[in-house]
Amino acid sequence: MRTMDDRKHAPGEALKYGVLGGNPLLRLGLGLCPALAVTVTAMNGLGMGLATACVLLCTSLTVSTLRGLVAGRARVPLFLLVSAVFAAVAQMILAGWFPALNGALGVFVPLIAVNCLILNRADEAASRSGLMTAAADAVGMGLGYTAALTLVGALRELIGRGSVFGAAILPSGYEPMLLAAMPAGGFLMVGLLMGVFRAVASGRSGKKESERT
Amino acid sequence: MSGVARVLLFMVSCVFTENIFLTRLMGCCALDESRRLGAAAGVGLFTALVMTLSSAGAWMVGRWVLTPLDAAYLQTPAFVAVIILLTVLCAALIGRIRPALREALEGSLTWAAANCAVLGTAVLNMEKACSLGEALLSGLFNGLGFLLAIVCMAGVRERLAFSKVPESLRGLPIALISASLMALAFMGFTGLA
Repeated sequence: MRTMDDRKHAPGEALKYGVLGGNPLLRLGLGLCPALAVTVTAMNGLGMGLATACVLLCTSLTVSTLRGLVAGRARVPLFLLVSAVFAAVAQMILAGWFPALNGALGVFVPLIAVNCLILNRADEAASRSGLMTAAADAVGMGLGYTAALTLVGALRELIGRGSVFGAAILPSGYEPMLLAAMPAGGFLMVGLLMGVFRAVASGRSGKKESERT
Repeated sequence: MSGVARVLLFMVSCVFTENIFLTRLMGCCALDESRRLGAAAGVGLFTALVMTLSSAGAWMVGRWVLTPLDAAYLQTPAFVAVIILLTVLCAALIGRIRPALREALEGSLTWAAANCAVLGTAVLNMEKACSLGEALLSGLFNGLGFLLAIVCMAGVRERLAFSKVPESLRGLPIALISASLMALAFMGFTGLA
């Protein structure tokens, strides 16, 4: 797993694959740490997802441009340094224009630099394909990651606080379930959602997916 | 409070109450590496070593190079470079001493340097404005906390391999759900330090 099939090279296909069939968080299990840590509210999930998607796109484009120059053992350090530079830029943009979001995401903004999703896409897709394909893959994966983080955030906010994006949804008599907002709730929510996604996917394709781990 | 007691309290806080893996949720990508007890212990020990050294290294670079140059915006790339350098050095050193481990260390760059617990500890140290000794200790204790968590998770996963898990939850999902229970258990340490 975690490789690209040929059929995903068309831009439209890459988008659909990233959001649904190959959703980086819920199907491939990439980029777990921020998905568990910051998704206490839907807004945090959306912000983190978009910031990661932008860094992913810039890193993929750079790596795709530089492909052929670096190969072998030097490539992982290169990928990490490139994404670290873009993560630093993202941190400055967030701190300047979205200080509240930056405060809520905290240390996980610089940690975008070592997000396994970005490293994996740089290695699996961008370093082996042209600019257009790399961009399509990065946008699809980035949107899928954003959608997944927002979903996790919205569910945790709904259960833990009775609201979504700050707007109260559940009646005022609802007793918030604190577990959802705690680290344990993050692990539980992502694990269950992953299971749901896998069950739906295997139901649709009609084949067993137990070999996927 | 005496110095020794403070160090001990700091250790309990890093390893148990504020466990980097189970309460700060850093380094969770290593969850996939933790399928066997032996492998998990190896990954955990190596990560703890890199974390200790890079906490101190990043502190020196941050305090002695970046702050005088007024270049705090370079912190993330600079810290990543320090961590990559130290990971490569440690892997080369251990490979020299124990050639049998060389093959296992080949992939260490991806799982040690790209482990967000290592960079996270270094960044948090800078935010707390601690001294060099505190940075070194925080790297060591957080590394031990990571080792403890990943070894516990590997123990659980070894048992899970023999149990009947629903088809769609096999692998990573059930590992995450087990980690959730482990995180709940670690909440019992709250208030200890």
